Amino acid sequence: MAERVDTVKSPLDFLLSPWMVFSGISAGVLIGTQYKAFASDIAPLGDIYLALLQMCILPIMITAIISSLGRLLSAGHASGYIRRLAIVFVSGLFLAGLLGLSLGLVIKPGKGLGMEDQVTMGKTIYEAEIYSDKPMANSGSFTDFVRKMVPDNIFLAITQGHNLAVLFFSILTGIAMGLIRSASSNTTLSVIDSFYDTFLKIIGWLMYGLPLGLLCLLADQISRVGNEMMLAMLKLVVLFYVCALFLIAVYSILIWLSVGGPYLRSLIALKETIMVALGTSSSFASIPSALRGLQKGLGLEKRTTDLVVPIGISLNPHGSVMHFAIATVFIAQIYGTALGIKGFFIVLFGSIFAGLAASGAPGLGGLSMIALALDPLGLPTRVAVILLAAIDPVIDPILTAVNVYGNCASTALIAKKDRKQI
Amino acid sequence: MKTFYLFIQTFVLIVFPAAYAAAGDLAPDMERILKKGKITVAIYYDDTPPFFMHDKKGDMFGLDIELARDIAVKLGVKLELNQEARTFDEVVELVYRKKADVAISMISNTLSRAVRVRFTDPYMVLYRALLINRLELARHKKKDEDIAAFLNNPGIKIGVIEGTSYVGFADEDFNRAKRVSYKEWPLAVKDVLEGRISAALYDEIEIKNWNRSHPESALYVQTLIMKDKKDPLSFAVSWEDKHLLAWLNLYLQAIRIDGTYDRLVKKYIGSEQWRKE
Repeated sequence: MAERVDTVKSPLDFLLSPWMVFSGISAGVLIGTQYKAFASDIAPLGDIYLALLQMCILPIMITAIISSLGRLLSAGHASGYIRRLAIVFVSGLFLAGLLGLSLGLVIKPGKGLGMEDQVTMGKTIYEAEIYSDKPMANSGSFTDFVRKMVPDNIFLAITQGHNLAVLFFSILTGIAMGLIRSASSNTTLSVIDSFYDTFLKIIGWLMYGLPLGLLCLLADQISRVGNEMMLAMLKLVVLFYVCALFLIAVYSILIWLSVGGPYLRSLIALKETIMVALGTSSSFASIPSALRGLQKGLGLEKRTTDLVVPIGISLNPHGSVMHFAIATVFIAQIYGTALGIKGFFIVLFGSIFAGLAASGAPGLGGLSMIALALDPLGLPTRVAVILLAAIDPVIDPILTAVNVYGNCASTALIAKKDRKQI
Repeated sequence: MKTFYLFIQTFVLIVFPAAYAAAGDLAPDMERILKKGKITVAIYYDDTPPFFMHDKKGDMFGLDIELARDIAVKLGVKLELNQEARTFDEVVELVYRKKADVAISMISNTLSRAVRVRFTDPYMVLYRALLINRLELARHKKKDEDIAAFLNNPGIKIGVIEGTSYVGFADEDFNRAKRVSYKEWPLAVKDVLEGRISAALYDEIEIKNWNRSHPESALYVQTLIMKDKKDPLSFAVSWEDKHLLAWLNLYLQAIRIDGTYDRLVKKYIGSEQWRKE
């Protein structure tokens, strides 16, 4: 399973440089704020690019997990990894939740909202309720969430993009295949490996389009933000960013400490990953870039990264957990609901479960998972979803970056002892 | 001689009333209005956009006002507005006591009112609506429970305005909840906002008006327009005024045919243009 190093230089390589990507991002932001009509014209281009990235995700996820778990189990080192994975994931989620919760309680983004802000928020809520007759996306309960994780038809799950179900299937298959330990299962694993390499190569080609893709995507995202709502919820938005940047800084240090070498190297290795996360607001679309960054850039072992990264995107979403923790505290403060000790734990556990559930549900369906934290507190979910949806275009990029980067940091911690220079 | 006088009497008694009739007798209610030279229309004392309100110059305008003016024109008389009534029930009362000829004032044509006055066919149908305290819903309503079903429970307090048809509607729609009466709409809304009552029941127009003038309320109260619960509005006349009723019904048909009705609805219900005045 040796890696073939690509030495062929393409004339298009300049498109991969950080400067090109950065200019793509800046141009996108500029167009999104100043030329909103043009932004919606070029939006389809961004959508196609995102679709191309997402097209490769499920295949990569399935092949990566099956192949890595299979190899891990046939080699027989599994339990150490699994234990480390569980510890890192669980502590990471708790820490993210705790951070969001504490900052929310200290900074109090929901207290003392000015009348103008309340008017803006009230108008947004009223219009969303009156003019859309469709019922709120069914947020379901915790048992629903667990039930959905097990697909009764894997092909249906893949078609419908139920990532958690696909994840569950891949894990089960990988474990089973790994435990068979026959020549034919080895062959199958090799076949799966080659599929994995294939899709990774396709993603490699797509990276040439990153500057343009990001330009279109960001322009569209940013053009959709209503300026008034942004200002009304500014304190909350800023809090999200502060928390996110703090976490990203922590992650970069954790990565540097795990991997060794100069700090700058560990930052640069994952630059493309963060750009993709920011531009696409899709943690799944960032998986391939994360794998490349961790394996080629930081020299982490392929076997572990292939396993941890895809699983972690679903089961280790620090950004989503932080998002829901802060948002829940925000809502509690708007309605003047004090959080006692009981409330504190409800928010902590609720936002962790909500974050996990949201990673399986796209778009607004994910947001409505905040019900897992709000319902036990007796707070209105509908208001929360409408308000969060209004600022989502601005928040989603940075939260995705936290999800992806946090996952990379977790991977660096788990794969720590088995680092091999490739 | 006696026979002759008898004959003359009979002749006079027969011919002259007949002559009178031939010359143009009118129904007593129409006669009354035409002789007065004006039609008195009872309207609720307080502005209720977009049906009747004051413009910047202090004159009355609105959907009901334009209907009243048009009716006066079509009858060939002047229009007089009687705005003494402090509740909607009192508006109906004025007509019952013949202090006004007709009530054109967003009057719901309830069966209990129809015992004392006559109603025309409805000229507009509104939906009943609720303003509901959001925390109350979030804390106690079960996930898939219908909001209306949740509110129809003992222990729930629903606010209505005294002297409106909504007192009766609350008993109809939420018979198991406790009905709390308020003299004025803003007081009822205040109690919903602060959670002293769970919801306030009123027509969709007033509730939309409230949301428009207090958009920040949407954070704390949810608006629910009950599309299955109607509130039809009619004109009211005295139970004795049979002909006036027939005339008014014909009028309502006529304005639908000639486009006047559509024009008025478009102006006052379908757009916000009238707010400029």
